[in-house]
Amino acid sequence: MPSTTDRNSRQTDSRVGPENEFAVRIRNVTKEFTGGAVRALNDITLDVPTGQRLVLMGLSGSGKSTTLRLINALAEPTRGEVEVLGQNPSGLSSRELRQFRRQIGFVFQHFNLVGRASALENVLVGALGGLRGPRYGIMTYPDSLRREALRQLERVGLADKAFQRASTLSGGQQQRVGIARALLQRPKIVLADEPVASLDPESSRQIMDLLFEVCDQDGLTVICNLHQMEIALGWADRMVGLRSGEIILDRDARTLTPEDVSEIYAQAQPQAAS
Amino acid sequence: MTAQLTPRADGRPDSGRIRRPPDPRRRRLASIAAVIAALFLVAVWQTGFTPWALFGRMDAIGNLLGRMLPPSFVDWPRYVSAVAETLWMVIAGTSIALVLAVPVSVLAARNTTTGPIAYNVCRFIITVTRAVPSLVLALIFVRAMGIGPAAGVLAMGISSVGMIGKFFSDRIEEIDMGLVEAVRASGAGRLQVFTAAVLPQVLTNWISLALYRLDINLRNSVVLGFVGAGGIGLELQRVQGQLVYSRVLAIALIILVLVIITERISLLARRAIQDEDTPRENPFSLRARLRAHRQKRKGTSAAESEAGSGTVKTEVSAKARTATPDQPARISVGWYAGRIRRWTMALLAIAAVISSFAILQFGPIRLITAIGDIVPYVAAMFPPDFVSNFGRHLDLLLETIWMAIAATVLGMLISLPIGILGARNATVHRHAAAVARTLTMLVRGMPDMVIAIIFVAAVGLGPLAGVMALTIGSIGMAGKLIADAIEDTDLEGQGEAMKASGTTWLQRTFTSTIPTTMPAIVGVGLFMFDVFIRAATIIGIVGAGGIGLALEGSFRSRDLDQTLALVIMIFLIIYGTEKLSAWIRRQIL
Repeated sequence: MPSTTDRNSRQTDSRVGPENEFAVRIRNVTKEFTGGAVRALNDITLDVPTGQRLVLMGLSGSGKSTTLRLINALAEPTRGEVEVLGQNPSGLSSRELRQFRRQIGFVFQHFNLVGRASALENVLVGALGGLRGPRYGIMTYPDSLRREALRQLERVGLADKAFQRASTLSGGQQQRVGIARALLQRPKIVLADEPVASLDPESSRQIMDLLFEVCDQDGLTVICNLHQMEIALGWADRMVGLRSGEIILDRDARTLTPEDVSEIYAQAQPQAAS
Repeated sequence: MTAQLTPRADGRPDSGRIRRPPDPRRRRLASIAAVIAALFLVAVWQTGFTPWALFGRMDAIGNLLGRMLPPSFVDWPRYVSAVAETLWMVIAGTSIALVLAVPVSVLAARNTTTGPIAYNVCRFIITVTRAVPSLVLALIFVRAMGIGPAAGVLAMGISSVGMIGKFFSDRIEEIDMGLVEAVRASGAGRLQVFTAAVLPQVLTNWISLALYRLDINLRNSVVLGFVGAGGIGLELQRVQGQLVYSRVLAIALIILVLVIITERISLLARRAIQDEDTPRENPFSLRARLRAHRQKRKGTSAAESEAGSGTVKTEVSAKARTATPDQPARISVGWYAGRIRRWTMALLAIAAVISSFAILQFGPIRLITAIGDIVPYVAAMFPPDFVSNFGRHLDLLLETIWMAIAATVLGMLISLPIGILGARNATVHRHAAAVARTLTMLVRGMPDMVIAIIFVAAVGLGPLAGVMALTIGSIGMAGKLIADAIEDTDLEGQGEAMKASGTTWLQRTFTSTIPTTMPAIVGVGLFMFDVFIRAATIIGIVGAGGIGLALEGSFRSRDLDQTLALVIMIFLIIYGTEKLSAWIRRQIL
């Protein structure tokens, strides 16, 4: 168990070495869909230092999700280069790609759990990428992993629901399982795509508290897409605003006011109306 | 929830329970699974479907393939006329069924029936004609009327009445009764109400249903032909009897192509008729049959009529009959393209029906003499004789059940990967899905009976051939149903989450695809068992094991009272297994 934040961040530093001063480097990336008909990202450049908590804001369709999907190579850039933890995912074989993705935890808006499986089994899915061969049911995972998975569930406060079907949990609980699943990967980076957009305000606050707390404990780099500016302002080190696939704001979050943030949305209004 | 984070006795904090807590439901499921596994092992042993038996016969299978390839079409003029005869048989048989089914369905629909007596009599006719296997009818008619297509036409005509009548009356029960009342209020008679208010609301759907049934009858005609009822099935029986396997393969391929082509044509015809009408699900489709099966199992509706009408109820009447476009003042509709097309198709259909009866020389007089021939045969069946050969019949009946169990489990084991590969949202690659789908379609085009003939030739008479045939045949049905069930399930989110954590396709399959669709897969398995119990009772006719052998034997020795006893025993077995799978379903879901 991590004892102090200090020790962990030190460990992180020594592990990544000097060449990984940046967890993510995005260089002049353009992403087009349907053969160029839709341009989701337009010549984006973004460097994320290791350990930073970055919040991406913007309207739906501004390119936030595409950015995250480029980072863990669920999508490939049309032009430009993405470098994550010192690796360029586009040149990797499928085996290397799986290993690459194991270092990046992903938290989804719709939780994306296997509804019929228990909470614990869903957490264990996070370890699947590190195992060889298929698994069916929790008893097919090694004891040590099951213990580790339960510890992660404990961290998110759901140990007592370990054997309950995921589909019977509330939205907030399901997202906790999603976070525990990401943590079981022992990731270096956590990507969160609108993690609280499907939740009520109270659960949203709890989930964001939890997400940043556990990531802080483990000294992880966090890149999170969000809509709610008040939540974002409470947590982020840095705030990046996207509009129509371009970066229109990139500031230290601590010096930011709600008025600055609302501009990301306000500026987009005339366009949205047209 | 139980408290699982209690400290252990030695004071060290326990990280909690990492085994699933005992759960009586899971334990019950595990014991059902264990019983099924044990039954499967016994079934494999009983039917001789052991791995060593298979390897021992590899030579024979290779040998047969050598004799089958290349297929020999030297007798092609015979095949052409046999195919033609089959098509005429199917058209004539289906049209007889339609003529009989229309009045039955009107009286069997709650909203158009004349009274409780007519309603119950017609419901009874539907139930009985659905229950009696067309094969048994064909066996009787061939004995009574002689070998030839006439017996097949009659068997098809009578056995199709139940299914057509049921679906026709379901459609009638869905119509808008306001229109009926309006026409009745204008003083119209019963027949006028039918033609003015009922028929226009159901006609397109009825035609679609008739076309579906035409497909089924074509497939079925192979089996009927095989027992002497004419057509390509009779030709198949002839070359099989001569042991000329290159010709058996040729005919099998002809049947496959014929089935696939007619399926396409009937699909196009249905689309042409349906055009702007609400698309509705094919009630004979595997999907619809599986759903009806599921509902019956659940016991939500005792009567089958409810099961059907409840599932496919749509607002047909509201949408389908919108006003015709405004026309300037004229009193005739005029010949616009759609009307010409419809009339051409109708006239072609009528011409086809008339020529089918003319070519098969099946007129009213033939029909009356046929009834005279058949009655003594039916009378000879009573009273049923359960006593003679009881031991042998019981053995064959058990063999039938073992065959169905072995084929269901094996078939599901083979069909599961094919189904997963065939589902576009779970497949490993787009092309793999296309290959798997094509495979299931091709296998589906081949009637069980034809596959059974080939396996009997390969591995000899007995249940082994039957199990192999059913197992292979199941790829067509179960493979398609599993693929459909998976495609109906939303796996996208789970799949993406797993992909994002670096899992392989195989891991995703076992952790997401299979657990998520397990209830549907079990449902398909139970449905297949149901289908296989029925199939296993008839493939004995070609020597592939099971009760079918005794059924045909009793005809041959003219012990018709034993035939009836066998038919009743088959009913009981089918009824019993239905109850059993209903029970299993309740335990699982």
